[in-house]
Amino acid sequence: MSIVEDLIAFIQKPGNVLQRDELAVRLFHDQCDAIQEYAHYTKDCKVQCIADIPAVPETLYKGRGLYRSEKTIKTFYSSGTSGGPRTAIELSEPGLALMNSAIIEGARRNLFADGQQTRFLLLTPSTKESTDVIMVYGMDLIARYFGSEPPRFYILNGKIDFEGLTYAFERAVSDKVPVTLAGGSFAFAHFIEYCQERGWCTNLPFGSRSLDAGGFKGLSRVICPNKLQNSVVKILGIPKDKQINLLGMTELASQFYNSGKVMNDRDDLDDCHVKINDPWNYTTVIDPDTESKCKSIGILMHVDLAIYDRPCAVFTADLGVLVNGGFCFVKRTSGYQNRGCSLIQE
Amino acid sequence: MSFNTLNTKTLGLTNLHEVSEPTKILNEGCIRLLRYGGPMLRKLTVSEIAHRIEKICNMWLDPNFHYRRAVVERIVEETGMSSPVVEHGLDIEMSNYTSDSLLNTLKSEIGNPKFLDGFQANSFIKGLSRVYGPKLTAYWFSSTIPALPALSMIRGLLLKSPAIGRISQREQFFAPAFLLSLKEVFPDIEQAIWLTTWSPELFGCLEVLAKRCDAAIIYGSKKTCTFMRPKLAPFLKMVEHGHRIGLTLIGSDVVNSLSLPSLAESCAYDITTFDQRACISPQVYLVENNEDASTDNFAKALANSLQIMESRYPASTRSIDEKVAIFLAKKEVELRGGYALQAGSCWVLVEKNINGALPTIGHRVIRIVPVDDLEIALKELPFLDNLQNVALNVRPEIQNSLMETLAELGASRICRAGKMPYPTMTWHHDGMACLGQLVRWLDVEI
Repeated sequence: MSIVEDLIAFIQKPGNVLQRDELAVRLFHDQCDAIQEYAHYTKDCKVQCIADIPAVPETLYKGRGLYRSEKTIKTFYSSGTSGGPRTAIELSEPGLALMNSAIIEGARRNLFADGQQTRFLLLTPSTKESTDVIMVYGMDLIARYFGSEPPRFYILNGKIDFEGLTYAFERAVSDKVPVTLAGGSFAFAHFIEYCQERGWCTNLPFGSRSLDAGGFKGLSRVICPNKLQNSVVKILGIPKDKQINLLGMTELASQFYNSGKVMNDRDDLDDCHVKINDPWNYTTVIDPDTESKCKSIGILMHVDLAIYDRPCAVFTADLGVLVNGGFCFVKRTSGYQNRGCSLIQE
Repeated sequence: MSFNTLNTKTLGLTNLHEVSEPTKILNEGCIRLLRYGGPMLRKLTVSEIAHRIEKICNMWLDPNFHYRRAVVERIVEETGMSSPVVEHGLDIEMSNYTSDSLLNTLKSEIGNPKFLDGFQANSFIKGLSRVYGPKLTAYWFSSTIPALPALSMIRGLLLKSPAIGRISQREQFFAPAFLLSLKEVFPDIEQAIWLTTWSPELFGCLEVLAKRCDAAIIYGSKKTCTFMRPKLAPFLKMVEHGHRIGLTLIGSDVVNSLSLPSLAESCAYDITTFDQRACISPQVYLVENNEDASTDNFAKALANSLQIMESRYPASTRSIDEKVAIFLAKKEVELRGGYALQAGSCWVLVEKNINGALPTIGHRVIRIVPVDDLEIALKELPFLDNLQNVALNVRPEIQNSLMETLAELGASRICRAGKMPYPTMTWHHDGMACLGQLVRWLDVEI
């Protein structure tokens, strides 16, 4: 079987850590064989497990990037609203298939572990309107795979259709159909503000849930995660344990979901939600001064075995820290410009 | 003024966020400046103004001048720059403002400075000419360089233009202190210059400036300039000093000569002065390569000199965000097949080829790019839109041709390495006649 087929098989039915590391080493060597610059960059490295794979900086993809020479069938861009160059990620057919499997299995494990069928209401533009944003693509994919019916989109021409969305909630209540509300965190904040101003609220059927992504990244409206959760409980009746936040990046293929654990015992991690790694990805934290792994706040480095077309290990411009059961995202650094999927609604 | 009592209130800075009707206060302030500031300045001859400016700037050059002592520590606190860097920056800026240099700038840009005092013979039109500065100028100060706000204020004074200044929220001490110090030579200066601070988004303030001012001198990032342009440019003369990048060209013969240590020292000085924050600071070095490995020799010598220079002029404190940006920049270079040389807290990034000739993130991170042909490499630079100050240390046979190319590509100053931080007052900053384009002429041909 090809490396991509084996990786998809692992993602769909994860094995143990040894099997993961074996695949990671295979993927690393495969990527070195296919990408000359990466091979040169890693020539002195001894890679024996997923944690040993040398990472490349995410900023590389603001330029020409580093790819295999396979035919590109899809390109995703970061929002680029900051005025700086947009991150561009190119995917080949096997690369897209691998990424799709990670998106679907990530959602199965972290959002639909209970097997619940729901009606999807998406606080995103449709993939026809927004063709190249990974968050829109991913949420659409999840909705089509897990939804009880085709998803409906409530951002049209850059504007949220508040009335349409509240009507859809009311219909779901009358149909007694559980709902998944998914979209950018920033759009969630707008919707909450709309409901609060009008005093609108409902109590969605049992089994309903929400998925927000993107965070706020220095935008005009900022809601802390706990306040956002409390508001969603009040307005939609979705319990906190069914409200999932997802950390995703255009530069990665997989996403990191909330574990459900919130950090309350550290001042520097004020109410941070702990993110977990699925079996096919690995996260560590690097001290920017010493360039070695650290236990304090530092650079988040991810190895994502669902990345085929380019090196699978990435140094991000995000700060985070390892904690029991996963890691916490602390903030995006400002040495590089703010960007993110959530900016669609800014 | 003692350090302990120094704050924005004792300096007389008006924070428009702290008043109930900011646009009304701003509008009234502008009217007051128009009514009293213009007449106050027009009573003085331009020569008197230049001499008074020289006098106060000489006082600022005294390391023990009380205003200087009061603000240096605050600038250090607010900008993170080290005290020696701030002190040196003040020295460079303040030594530029001699009466001769000020009057020469006017001569360069309007011919005869006395045109600003009254009608003067103008042989070119066989008549008389008179020049008027703006009735009211708006200054938008940045926080990147210590003492830079003095330049805008001095330009305005030379043109006898009263002014409303908006101070950066990141560095709020130098400009008010400089204004207060001007009272020693212009006792009524508060009638002519008023300093405020507010966030750019404060509703209605820019509209007041557009309505009341007829000129604006803006220092800011690309984002700031883009934000301000549609709000001001249609209504007044707007002089923008936005994001610019400095460059140095080194010939292979220079690198392979005995003068390499001295060249490296000059380059390290260019980088270190103003902590690489100025538009005139170098970010990229194009080094002509040959068989003798010029680039590597130069990189090692520069790293060595940067480290020595840092002991005299320590680098700014760095935030974790800045450290992350530096870390990622180093990794990018390594991926492109280059390498990073540590030089104290500074970094010399040695690229493999011209594809890596990208602007750096500052913080004394410098990029060295080996090239086979300087002329060809120049045309491939990715930051030509922002090219500003160029140091040129090459053999005489190629110097003139490179100067022509740099002129075509948009550079506004060429000098030798080691002189990058010392443009004269007369320099056409950003390629503009910064005073000349603000004035209005009246010619009499009777």
